[in-house]
Amino acid sequence: MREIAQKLEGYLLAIGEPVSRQHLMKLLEVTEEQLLEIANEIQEALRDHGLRLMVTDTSLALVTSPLLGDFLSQFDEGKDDHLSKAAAETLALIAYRGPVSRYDIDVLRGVDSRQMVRQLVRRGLARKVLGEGTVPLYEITENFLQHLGLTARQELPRFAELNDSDKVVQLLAG
Amino acid sequence: MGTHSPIIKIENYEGPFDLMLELARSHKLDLTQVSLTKIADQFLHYLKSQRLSPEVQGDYLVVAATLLLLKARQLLPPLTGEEQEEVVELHLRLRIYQLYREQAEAVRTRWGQGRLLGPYSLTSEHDETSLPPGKMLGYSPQQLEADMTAWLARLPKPPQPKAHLTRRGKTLEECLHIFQKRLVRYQRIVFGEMVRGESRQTTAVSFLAVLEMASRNKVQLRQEVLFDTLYVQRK
Repeated sequence: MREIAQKLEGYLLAIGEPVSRQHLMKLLEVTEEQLLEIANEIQEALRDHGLRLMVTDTSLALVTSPLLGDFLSQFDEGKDDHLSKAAAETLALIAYRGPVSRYDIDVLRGVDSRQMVRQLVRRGLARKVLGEGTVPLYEITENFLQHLGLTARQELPRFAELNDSDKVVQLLAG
Repeated sequence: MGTHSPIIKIENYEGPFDLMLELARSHKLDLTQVSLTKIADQFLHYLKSQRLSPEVQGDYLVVAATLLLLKARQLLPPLTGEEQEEVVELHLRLRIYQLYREQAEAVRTRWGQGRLLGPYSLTSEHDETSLPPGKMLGYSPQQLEADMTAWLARLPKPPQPKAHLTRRGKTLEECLHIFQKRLVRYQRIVFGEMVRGESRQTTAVSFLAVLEMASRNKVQLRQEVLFDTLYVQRK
């Protein structure tokens, strides 16, 4: 593994929580494309390990391998074990369609989701990001992915089909 | 379709779309096939039988309005182009909702099974030296009240208004920023060190900043001895 990849790996362990892509690009003095290349190198190297590199749209983090799910659950107190139907619905929308505005969530769900979104943000499962202009948008957090045993939101079932309004309409028309 | 639907509480439904999907299902109708008029009657009858709070009403009104339109048009066909569009749109919205609802079910089933863990995920819960939130050993609310009263009595009188401008203290945002910057570099900082040499106002605002970070679950506050060193630890 190249020295720069080793540095990234070590840094992520030392920080101990997700680090934004922007911060890492600045730290390592690389472009986003280069950062993803380095990340890929680490992912390759970790393939047979008990660790994985989580790469989301916004951040990178070192986490345990999904293959260890059963083994580790024995020791896991299982924070946030319960997800209500409404919470799951809202999270699914944010996960597949994020970053998404609260207005769009309301339209897709057919209900006022203000309180639910606020609750999810408080639980650390969603976060507010500032979109272009002043409309606040919401995306899911790394914590959300961790609870599902996923290292990237692209791993969600049917993600490619459902992550875009046009694709969905096309899907239903077909 | 009978006039006696089973009495189902509105709390069981996540909203009008959820209700409509259920009604369609009870008719064993697939949403691609079902004509909304079939379930319009039941939907509207259902709404009338419930007493809805204003907030919930709002959510159901739009759908109810579209269904009422459909019903009206049953008596006076045909639908205008615009009305036709509204119905098609509702139909489409329902089917889109159904798609995501299916995925939401999958999310719910998989939730928390085999959670991926990060550093200290398993150990922080078992840290014996950290106190459960909200409890201070050996200190009662009465003692707190007595101490607060004594402290308030010791406060100096407010200063006489002066004619010149006083230097602006730090805002909450500034204090938050300072602490956050420091915490990026150091896992744990000492509150006392951070506010050493600062004015009383800045110390108070800094403390508020620290409390805010704790309430947002970004840091953990630890104090081994009452009124002694306060540690701010990044989570």
